[in-house]
Amino acid sequence: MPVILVSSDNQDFKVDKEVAERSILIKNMLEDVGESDSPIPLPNVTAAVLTKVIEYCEHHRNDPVQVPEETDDPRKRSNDIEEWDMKFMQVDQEMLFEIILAANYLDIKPLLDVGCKTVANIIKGKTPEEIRKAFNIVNDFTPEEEAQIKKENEWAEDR
Amino acid sequence: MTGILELPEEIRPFIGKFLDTNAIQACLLVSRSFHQSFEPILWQKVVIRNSKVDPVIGIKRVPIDVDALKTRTRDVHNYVIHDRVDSQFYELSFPHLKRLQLIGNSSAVSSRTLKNEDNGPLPFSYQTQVADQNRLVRLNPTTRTLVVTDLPATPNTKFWETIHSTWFSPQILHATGPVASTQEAANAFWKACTRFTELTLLRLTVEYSPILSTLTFPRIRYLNLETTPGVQSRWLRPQDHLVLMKACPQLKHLTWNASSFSSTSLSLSASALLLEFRQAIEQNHWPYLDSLDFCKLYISKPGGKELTLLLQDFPNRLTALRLESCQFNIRSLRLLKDPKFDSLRILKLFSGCGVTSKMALDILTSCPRIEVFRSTHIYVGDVDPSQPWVCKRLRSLTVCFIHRESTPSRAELDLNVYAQLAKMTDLTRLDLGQYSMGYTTSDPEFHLMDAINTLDLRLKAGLGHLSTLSKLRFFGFAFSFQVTGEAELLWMMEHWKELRTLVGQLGGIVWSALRAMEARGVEYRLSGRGI
Repeated sequence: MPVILVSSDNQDFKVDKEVAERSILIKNMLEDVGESDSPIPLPNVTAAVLTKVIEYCEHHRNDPVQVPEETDDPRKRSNDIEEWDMKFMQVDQEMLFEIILAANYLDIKPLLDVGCKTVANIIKGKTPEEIRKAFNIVNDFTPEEEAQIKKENEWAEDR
Repeated sequence: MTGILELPEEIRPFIGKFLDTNAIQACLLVSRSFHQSFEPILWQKVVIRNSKVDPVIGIKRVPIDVDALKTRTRDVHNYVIHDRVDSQFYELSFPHLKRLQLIGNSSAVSSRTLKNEDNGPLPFSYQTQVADQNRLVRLNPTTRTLVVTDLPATPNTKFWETIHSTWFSPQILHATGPVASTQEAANAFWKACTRFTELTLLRLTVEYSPILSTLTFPRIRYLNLETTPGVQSRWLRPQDHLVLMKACPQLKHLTWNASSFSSTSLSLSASALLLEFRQAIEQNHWPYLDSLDFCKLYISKPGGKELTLLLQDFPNRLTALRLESCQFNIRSLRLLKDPKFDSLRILKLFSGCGVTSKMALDILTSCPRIEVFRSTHIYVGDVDPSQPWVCKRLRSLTVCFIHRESTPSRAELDLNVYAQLAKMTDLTRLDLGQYSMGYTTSDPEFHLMDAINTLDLRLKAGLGHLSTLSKLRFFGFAFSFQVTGEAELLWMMEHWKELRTLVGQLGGIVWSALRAMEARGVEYRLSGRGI
């Protein structure tokens, strides 16, 4: 049973219902609309990003639905990304952030997690200057402010 | 152009969740916008200690400024406070607090409780501390998890009454040591316990409470009890542990460390208690109970029938069984092969259970539905190619394969093990490490010289057969005696694409392999010459 998704730049994407329902937003929409053939507009997602999102959902169509966790995993692992997902996430930064935004909007938690873990892995182990270089960010602190911040946050222990 | 700064507010905590403290501290220095986004994450966990130097590790700690903390109360999710800190740290209300932990100095506890001094007026600092603790629980009713560890200032009635009547939705209570030193406080303690869904009570010191036997704990699904011999005054009596258990009708999981029962002076009452426990099981007192974890469940000495009788009488579908120092003999094993135990998915047998190599193999060759299995050791020579392993759904296996000292043709025998392991294609965790063996001189098969003849994990011995384990994420080979090196590591990177954790040792430095692992994001704990 196919579903038609329409990107913000008016491109149609025909997708199996099972695949589309990896997005909780779409799943809820389909439940509300019932047995209708009308296409679902996604004004916040461009065709390029939607292509990637659909690729992810296709690959993971048979994954068990994740139970939402109340408590934070104390170990906070970000190194447990599957091989296929790692390759999938080898995109330029702009696409990476677009995927994260789309996963958030469409409510696809596993994709959001993978995207955020990928960003976390870029940040980990880097000095502030290296983080700035990685994301093209300008340092708008004065040296005095930097010194003060360092002092203010020395207390933090391992999480 | 979407950059990281364009990500909305709500997404940054999702990223922050995966960052360690160092990474967050670095983020705070990147730019003003980063600072604003990531500072709340730093304040999610706050630990207040009473001295500048951590006495155990000797690490210099920078104290937290209470005024700074006051401006960040909205960000704190996890608050850990040691005793003997300034009262100001107890006067804080954290609107989103999920976890609260109060930690005391354990040596102070033992001298107070054993000397039975609490009848007199408390020293000034303890009185203040008790009042402080009460204030803290009153100000933080959103707490879900409460951890109370060896508090020298034993919580009083008000402490537990506040929790019982004002906390919104408590879930987990983890209490170690003294929790109530008067009967009134004890009554309040048990009443407060009725609000939780998970209770862990270790070495509990609590005054006798007459109302315990009248209470029901309808929300408790998980119970973890460590009994202590009831000989010291105020240690929770073994029979009260049973009263508590029986008052939890929704119980799903029970962990019971019954180490006091092994003391011979108690053997008579211990027998009666175990019998009562078994009868309750038989009468299906806990219709949802499907997960058991026992340590030292025997009387006087191991070798008894307690466990066998328990399993025999178990009316429900058992899903998980974890045993340590409990006699798991042939009769128990035979029971587990009965269709009644088809539901068993998780079986973990630690040291002191008397599990022989043949028994462990019997499980692998007769229980098709087991998904997680752990035992101490299996002799490679016992692995019989004509008796294939049937547990095709096995996803986690922890056992050390060893040779008897006297075995000659080890290479051929190793291949038998590889042939069987290779078929377990659902494995995500394989731990062949020596530390997991844990068997001691009291185990029937223990023989020191066997322990150094582990399965040969080199490629030339057959490691290559395990290329079928494509889902493997964890591989452990700690203290194995055949030296693995670069070739093996590179092979693992090539064939085990999902591998993320490696624990073992190497012969010599293998920089290129280590770099390959780092690029993949594999966490490794390897030791060896030069590393």
